[in-house]
Amino acid sequence: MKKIFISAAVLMACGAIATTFLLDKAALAQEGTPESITLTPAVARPSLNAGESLSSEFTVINDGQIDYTFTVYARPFSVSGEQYDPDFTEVNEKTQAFEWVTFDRTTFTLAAGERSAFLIQ
Amino acid sequence: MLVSRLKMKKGSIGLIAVFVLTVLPTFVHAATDSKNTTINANLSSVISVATTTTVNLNVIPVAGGAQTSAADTVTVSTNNSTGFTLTFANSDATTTLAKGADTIAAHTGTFAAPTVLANNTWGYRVDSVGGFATGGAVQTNVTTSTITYAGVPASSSPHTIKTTATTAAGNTTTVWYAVKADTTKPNGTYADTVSYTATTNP
Repeated sequence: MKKIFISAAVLMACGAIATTFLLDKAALAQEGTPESITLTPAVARPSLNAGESLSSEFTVINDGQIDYTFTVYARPFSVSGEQYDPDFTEVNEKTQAFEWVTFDRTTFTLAAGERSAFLIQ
Repeated sequence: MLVSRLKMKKGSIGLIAVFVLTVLPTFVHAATDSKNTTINANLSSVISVATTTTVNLNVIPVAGGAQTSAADTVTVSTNNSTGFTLTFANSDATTTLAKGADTIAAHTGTFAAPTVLANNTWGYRVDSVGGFATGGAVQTNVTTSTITYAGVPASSSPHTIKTTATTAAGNTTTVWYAVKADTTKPNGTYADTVSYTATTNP
């Protein structure tokens, strides 16, 4: 009946551009089974000058008890208000950096207890 | 005489020089040296979300409507020093519970102004956030209830159900779900998917 998203904000120093990676978990439902996913690093603040590129590694861990198929993608990310209400939809000059992000793979399945790294560029 | 005196003085100088040369090395041996090693333990930032796979709401409908509720627990852990924000929404733009073409509508109560469930609707609540007071509880096939709920928002309009300001070790949030149905709805399993999003605070 539900699925989990987990995200890590990545703030790019060139003009405080922000983007966010989302891991979309498609659970193979087993009623009442604990499910848990972990992402690391949860925060990264890379800095890029014009014309430069960067590659970083992220790791997702399936520390629950069911298999997951993950989809990795980038979304614009900003927050508002004292509650840090997140916004994953507004595209502006600071959040458009999500369009620059690519991944070495976007879908992968992890069995319970497995971990896997993926690269972002 | 003079020559011999001079010779004697030279001899004295020579004795002194020998004495000095034999004593100095005992002081050189007192010198020491040391080196330091720095140990760096680099802990990566992490965030994790845990819950259970399915919430089952079993209802035996009656003409006037029967309501069942159950809880889901979302557990977030992070070592981010500014904490996390947990949001909640439907996984897509369709907010009904569905069984083929048959549907159960999302409740019209809102996050800011939740209300009791109407027949053939479903909703959620999180105690003490938004317009919710305390009072979430498990109910099974009750025909009347004063517990208030909101409709699950579409994916484009998530509700913030928790914000923290420091690291979290197993921070739990209880989300209550309820459905109320009368006998006009065909029997079967109506389902939908909701999403919890945990984001590290900047």
